This record gives sequence, C-alpha cells and structure tokens, in this order.
Amino acid sequence: MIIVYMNLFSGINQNTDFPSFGYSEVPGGKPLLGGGSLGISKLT
Amino acid sequence: MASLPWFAENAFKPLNDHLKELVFNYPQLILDHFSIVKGTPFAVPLDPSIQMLFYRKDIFQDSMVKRMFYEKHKQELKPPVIFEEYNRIAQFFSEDFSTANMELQGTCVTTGNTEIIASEFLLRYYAESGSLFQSNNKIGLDKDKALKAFKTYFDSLNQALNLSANWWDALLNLSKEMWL
Repeated sequence: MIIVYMNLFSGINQNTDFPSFGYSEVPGGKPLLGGGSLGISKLT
Repeated sequence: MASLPWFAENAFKPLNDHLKELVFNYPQLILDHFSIVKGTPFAVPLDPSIQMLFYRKDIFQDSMVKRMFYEKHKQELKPPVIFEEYNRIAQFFSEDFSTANMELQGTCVTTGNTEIIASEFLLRYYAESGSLFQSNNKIGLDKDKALKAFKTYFDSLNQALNLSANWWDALLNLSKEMWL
C-alpha cells in the first residue's frame, strides 16, 4: 500500500508489467490537495 | 495554491475572458481551491491532484491472503479507513510475507524531504480532525491530536520501507514485488 498524490501515480498505473492496482480514499478521509496555481503578475 | 487567498488580489491580475473560459472547464471544487478568491478567478489550476491510497488488488483479493489475515486479526482484509488499520495491514504484510531471501514491507514512506514528511503528518493530523487554527484564530497545532498523528506516523515508519529520497520518484520506481 502507498499513499501518494494521484497525478504521480498515473505513470505506474499504466505500466502493463504491473498487476492490477486498487485505489481508495485515504484513511481518515481528509486528503491533502497537491499541485499549484498559475497566475499573471500585476507587474507584467 | 494553499496561500493563494492571501496574495492573489495583491499579486495577480484577474483572469481575462479567454482564460476564464479555460478554467471554468474544471470542477467547482478545483476552482475553489486553485483559482477563485472572493468570487474572482485569479489563477489557472496547475497539475491539481489529491492524495489517494493505492494497493495491489490481486493480493488484497487473494483468498489465501484474506484467510491468513482473518486468522490473525479476526477482521476482513480490505482497504483501511483509519490509520490504525493501515498500520495493522502494513505490519501483516511486512511480518508474514517476508522470507529468508527477501524482506518485504507492507508500505513505503519517503523521508528525505521535510515537505513530504509534513504532507504525511498533516494527512494524519487532519484525520484526527486537527486544524492549523486554534482559539482566537492563532496558527498552531492541537497538542493531543498532533501527538496521535505523530504516533500513527511513527508506527507506520516501523512497518514501512523508508526511502531517503527527496521526492516520490524513488517510491514509484520500486519493483512490483515491493508493492504490497
């Protein structure tokens, strides 16, 4: 079992050398969000 | 992303109509966290993601493994919903599936980066209904909940393959035999 951000896992999940993976909500049911936000500076 | 509400209005231009059209294809939950501040879209979500639990479905569905787990814990083997279960299942795989030739761990943890360690801790802290804001809106941890979160984190480290890498790549490059 591992707990990881789902975008990082997408590569291995498509690797046909691996057996099938299951997935579920994290224990506790309160996952952290990952990623970022891309904005345009007021100074540009 | 987490700090977007604090600086978006001062640092960013509101999105123009073309970019608004782009971001409104995202679900509202994503927009609320990654784009919109006080009703105005200021940013485009970049690689938004969420923590999830992944496991070897073939092993969790193996009738012999399920029987062994039941004999040991008198519980059905299924994806854990609390961290005590998570640690129990990890311990089961680590202790009962290792052989003289190969030591296996029921889970893996990356410990070479404080950002990742914080991510693991906060996941467990929030699972205890912890908040980063205490009375009078002061930033801090609830001591009792933080101690419980640390305990489940340290317990998991004892069952886990500890990777000293500074990002998750090492974990994702493990062989399939390590994925229990």
